[in-house]
Amino acid sequence: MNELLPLKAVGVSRFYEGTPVVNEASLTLEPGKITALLGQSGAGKSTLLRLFAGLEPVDAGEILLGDKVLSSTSTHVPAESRSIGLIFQDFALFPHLNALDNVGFGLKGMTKEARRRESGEWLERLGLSHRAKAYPHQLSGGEQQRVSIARALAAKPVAILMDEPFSGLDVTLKSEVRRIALAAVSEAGIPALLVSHDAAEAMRDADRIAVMRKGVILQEDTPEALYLNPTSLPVARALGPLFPVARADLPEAWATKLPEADSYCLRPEAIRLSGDESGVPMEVVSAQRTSALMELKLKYNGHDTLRGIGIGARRPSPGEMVKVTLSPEFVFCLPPESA
Amino acid sequence: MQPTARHLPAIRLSASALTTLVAALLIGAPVIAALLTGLFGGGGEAWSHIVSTQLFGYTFTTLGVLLLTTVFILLLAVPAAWFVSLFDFPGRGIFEWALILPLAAPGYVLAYAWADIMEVGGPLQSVLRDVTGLSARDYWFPNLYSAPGLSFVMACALFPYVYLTARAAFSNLSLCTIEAARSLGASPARIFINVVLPSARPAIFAGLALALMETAADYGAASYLGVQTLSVGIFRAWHSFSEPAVAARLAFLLILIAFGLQLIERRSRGRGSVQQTATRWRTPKRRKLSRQAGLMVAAGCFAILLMAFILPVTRLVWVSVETGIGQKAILRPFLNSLVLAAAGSALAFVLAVTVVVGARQNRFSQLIGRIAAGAGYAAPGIVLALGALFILSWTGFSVAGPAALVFLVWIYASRFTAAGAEPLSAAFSRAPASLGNAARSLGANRFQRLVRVDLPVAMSGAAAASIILFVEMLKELPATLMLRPFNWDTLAVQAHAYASDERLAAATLPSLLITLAGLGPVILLSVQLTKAGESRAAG
Repeated sequence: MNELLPLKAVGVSRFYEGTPVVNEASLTLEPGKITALLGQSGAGKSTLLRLFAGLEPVDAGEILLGDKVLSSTSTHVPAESRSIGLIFQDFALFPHLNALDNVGFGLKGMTKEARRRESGEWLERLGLSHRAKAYPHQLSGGEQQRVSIARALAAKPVAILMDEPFSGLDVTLKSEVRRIALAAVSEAGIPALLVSHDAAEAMRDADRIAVMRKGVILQEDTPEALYLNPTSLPVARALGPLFPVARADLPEAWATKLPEADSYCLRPEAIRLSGDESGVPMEVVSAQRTSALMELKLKYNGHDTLRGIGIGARRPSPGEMVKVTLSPEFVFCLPPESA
Repeated sequence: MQPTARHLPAIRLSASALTTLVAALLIGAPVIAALLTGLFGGGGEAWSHIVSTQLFGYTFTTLGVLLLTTVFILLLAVPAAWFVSLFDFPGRGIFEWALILPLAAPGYVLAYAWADIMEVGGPLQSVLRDVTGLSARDYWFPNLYSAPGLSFVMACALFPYVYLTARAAFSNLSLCTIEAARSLGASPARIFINVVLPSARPAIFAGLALALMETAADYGAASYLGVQTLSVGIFRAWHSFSEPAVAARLAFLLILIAFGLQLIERRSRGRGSVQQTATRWRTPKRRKLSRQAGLMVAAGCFAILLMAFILPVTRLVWVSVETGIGQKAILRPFLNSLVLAAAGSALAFVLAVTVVVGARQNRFSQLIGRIAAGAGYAAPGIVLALGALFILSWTGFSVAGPAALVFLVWIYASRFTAAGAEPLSAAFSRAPASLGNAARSLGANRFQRLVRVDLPVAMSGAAAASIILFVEMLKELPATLMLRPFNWDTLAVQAHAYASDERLAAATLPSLLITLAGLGPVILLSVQLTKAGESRAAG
């Protein structure tokens, strides 16, 4: 068993034709924790993953495992010598090997028999022992991804890096595969990185989230802390929908509960349909049901800038007056985004 | 901050680039030797004589043959591909793959067969005289021993190149584009001329350039039909007049033509791929032709097949069975052909793997590998053989005995590595980069990745590459003629020798064996391509 060490990026940069794709990024992946790297396409997430993996050299900064330097401007331990597991969106299973042999690919220094036994155990752990002889093209997407996770973990990596691992899967398969896969990753107790552009996935699956934009890591914290206390508009936006409201458009009773500012950013759940007679009366402009919740567009004082949510069986009609309440913890007072 | 130098990757780059460089030199040396001698070798008085007497004739004839072949090929291939891809008619399913069969027979074999069919005492003129009651002096009959005759034969042998690329282009046409044209009031004819043809043009040009490269490289058919092309001129300058420097000068001209054609092919292919990926398309459903129109189209397709394959091959079988000549004498050349083609394929395969793997490592390797393989493929066999002879004379080696065979194997590999590299490269490109990265993350080094991942993944392409290489080498004539040891005949050489001696009956069996060997892979290729097309249409 490898010693459990954190995998760290310290001020790493990577340039493509002079343009920084990763810009002085620092991130520590703690053992036993899943850290999500969240950002839009082109944010530099996958490049940072490739720097961790050793698939690309760094142009500045260091990648460390514990205190051992894996990448710096003068050192580059190649990917094949790092023992860092990789999980890809396209599964990357070897098409000429069956599931068992795919899992056994990275097992070294053991007899053929021992390798098959160990691979079989890993497949069993991921609920796939009955598919051991199947070739990748005979497996479903979910099965393929579980084989690729078994393959990466069987090689006893010091860390595991997952690049959008579940985005290639059918929605109905996703939650089951995710549950089994992430349980196996957590059980291994190694540092794990989950690259994702899906905020809901990152919040559900990760112990910590780092939000990345234009090559820079903007903020890193627990999902809860990031969601409720974003330090910048891009981070707040990355975690969930927001809408801007001028202080003047809010009811006076609400404004007094908020810190002094000209305008605010509100999460939709900041304004909710009241279950009783409490709250401020507002006119419903539109109400749309999106599965469990209703999304409301509300009018107050002649302005229809407010959004809110409602739970319940009855959908209010446009023009109807309803009572709504405010939860100030979902209202943010953030500096405007710089160009 | 700017990127800093990275020492370790730089060292690895040069190691992999060096391997590719060695492979590229092996492939490219003969053509470089021929080019250098052509440019700087000097031709002396013999060259001045050639310039004043025959150069214009050789060049003009070659260009004329290429032009006529273009016309014939386009007439045969484009309508056939158009109807097979977009319309339903009786026998369409059979014609779809059968129209590729002519690729199995080399041009010189078709030339022997058609010469026999069309001669005064041959079946065609005999029937004509029987039906009309005329005598041979009373009518005009086309003369196959002419530039148009050579073009006709080469078009019959090579039109499938254009048929295949055009068919793929027509099948990939966006239905939306056709529907848009229809909604704007365009007639079917206008749609074909203004929408379909322009979008399929890059693919058609790419196929045509390949076919014309083969036509320019042909020696067997041209020499048999007595057409004075550059290839024939080179062979005569070297063999009959013992003027290698003159041959090199002529070869230089031929290389220029071949490289020009290759440039067209590359550019056209590039444009074709951009067109296919840049648009979202729906494959058009095939339209059922009316009974009368369907039968006419089927008759047309059958006529093409009859002319390019059934008639000549049947004639060869007929003559062979009728005369029963050569069964004993065929064993030796047959074995010789197998040995040479197997050894050549093995070397070309190794070179192709080196070039393709190198191209995946870095841009330098990609560039030199591509240039070398492309140059070898574009250069006609006769030019490469000439190059090899120059290298031999520079280095003082003799071309006698087994050494000559080694040189021949080398020339085969030089000429055909590109043909093997193509399917290999396609198979490699089907394996996404993530496979290599996954293997790296599991601790596999570069060599282990090649052996454990890349080669097994590319196995289907490797098998196709080996078969293509083997068959191409089995057909090869001019380089074998020039470099083989004395009395060491292959099937192609024997067929050529008999045919040139006016012993056509004896040439039939080796010709048929070459065609038969080519038939297997061509059918395999045809089924593969047809299936691929169907699954794409279904998807």
